[in-house]
Amino acid sequence: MQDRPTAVELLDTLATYLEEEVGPELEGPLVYRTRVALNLLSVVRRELIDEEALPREAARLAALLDTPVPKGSPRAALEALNAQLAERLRRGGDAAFDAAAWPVLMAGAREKLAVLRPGYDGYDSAGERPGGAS
Amino acid sequence: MSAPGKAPESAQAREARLKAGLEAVFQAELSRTVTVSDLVVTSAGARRGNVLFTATAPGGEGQRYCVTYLPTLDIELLPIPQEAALFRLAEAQGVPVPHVHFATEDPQWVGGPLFVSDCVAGETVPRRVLRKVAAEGTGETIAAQLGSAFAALHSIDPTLAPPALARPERAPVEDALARTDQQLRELLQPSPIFSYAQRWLETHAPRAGDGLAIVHGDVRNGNVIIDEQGLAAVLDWEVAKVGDPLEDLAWTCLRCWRFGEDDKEVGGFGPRAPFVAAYEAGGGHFDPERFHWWKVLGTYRWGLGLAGQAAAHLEGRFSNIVMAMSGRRVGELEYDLLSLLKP
Repeated sequence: MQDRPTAVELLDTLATYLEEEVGPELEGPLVYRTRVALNLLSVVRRELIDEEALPREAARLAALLDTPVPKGSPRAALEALNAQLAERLRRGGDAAFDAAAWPVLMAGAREKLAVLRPGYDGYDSAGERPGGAS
Repeated sequence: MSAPGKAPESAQAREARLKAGLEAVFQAELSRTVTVSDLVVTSAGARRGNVLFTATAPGGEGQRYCVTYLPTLDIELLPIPQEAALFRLAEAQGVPVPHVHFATEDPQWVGGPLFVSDCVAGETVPRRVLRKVAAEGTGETIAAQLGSAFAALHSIDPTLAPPALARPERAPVEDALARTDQQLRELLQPSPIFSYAQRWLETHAPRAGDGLAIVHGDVRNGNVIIDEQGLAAVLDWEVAKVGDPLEDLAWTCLRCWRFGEDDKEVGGFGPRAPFVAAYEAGGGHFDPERFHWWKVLGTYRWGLGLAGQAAAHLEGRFSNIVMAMSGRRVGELEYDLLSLLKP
């Protein structure tokens, strides 16, 4: 186990450095790129904090596919499940499976957004569809 | 011009060369003696430049212009003289575009082909555009103006299109699906959501439409000039092609171009009703099912495009922090896709 600062605390330190010390010195395209860099740090920070995200998603996909979670690291297991699910959805032809898959895919998409861009799922484009309440 | 082994040209040297080249080309093309000053680079992509400048005749008043040019003779998406021809075709039909004064392929002036057009006053930076539109209350007007502009563009006989404009090898719908299928296979990791979208698009593909039209392909906030009256000009025609007119309308209405104004479907400017009404009043035919299909396709295509940017970064073909972050914006498009495809 590493000493403090923790990984998250180091990221916060780096963000403060970019924002308060580097930022005011910049102009032109570097201003925009540094804003992107700060956003990148906040994404990594949120991803690090949620340590259970991979096993949680693997469990959801395994249940949908009716298969045990593959052995190995959580990342490897999830990659294998993702590949299997992508292949089955690409092939199609099973309306019941597609219908069961949609909420699982949506749950995964929302969890990704909680890391990538919190609040982005506050708008639902479903109302824009033909027959929707646009 | 920077060649391998040579030090890159300084910004000052480039500006001096551009100034001299523009003064010479005004003489050659328009027989006008002018002094060029006040150069402002508005976009300096790797491939092409847009520079605003003032040209002043001796004893006369200065006038602002815009030069669009390629700094080298590299392969162009759409050759500059043909892009200029497309501007003229669109202008003649009533599409708001900057008036083109001349175009030349001769590389002696600025290193590559160029065209010079009017400098249209207004705002182009997306977030500033939306602040301006909110302050001036022009959002619904712009939605209608976009509808009218599309109607005018799509009314042009596509056989008049400049010869280099891309034309679909088969129906535009099939063409689009073949491309996305290829991109889906090239992803760095399998995507269940994109696989779901590809399958949905294939099983819901619309039948042949009303025919082909010249489509701009990228009308959105960032590629338009907005002034106090609303839409002043449509810019960036380099991905124009012959295709399905509904593809054009749908691309403008993707959530990713609303910059947070999510409930304003037409580019973050306004609602769909005035947009469609103006399109139909101008002779366009709107089909909501087909429009929806192209919105799903566009959302999916932009998600694949962002994933492709991340791949280019990771493979070292075009590395920078913005391209890296594009990979982590794919999730936004996945969410939008699922919302559009809610069972």
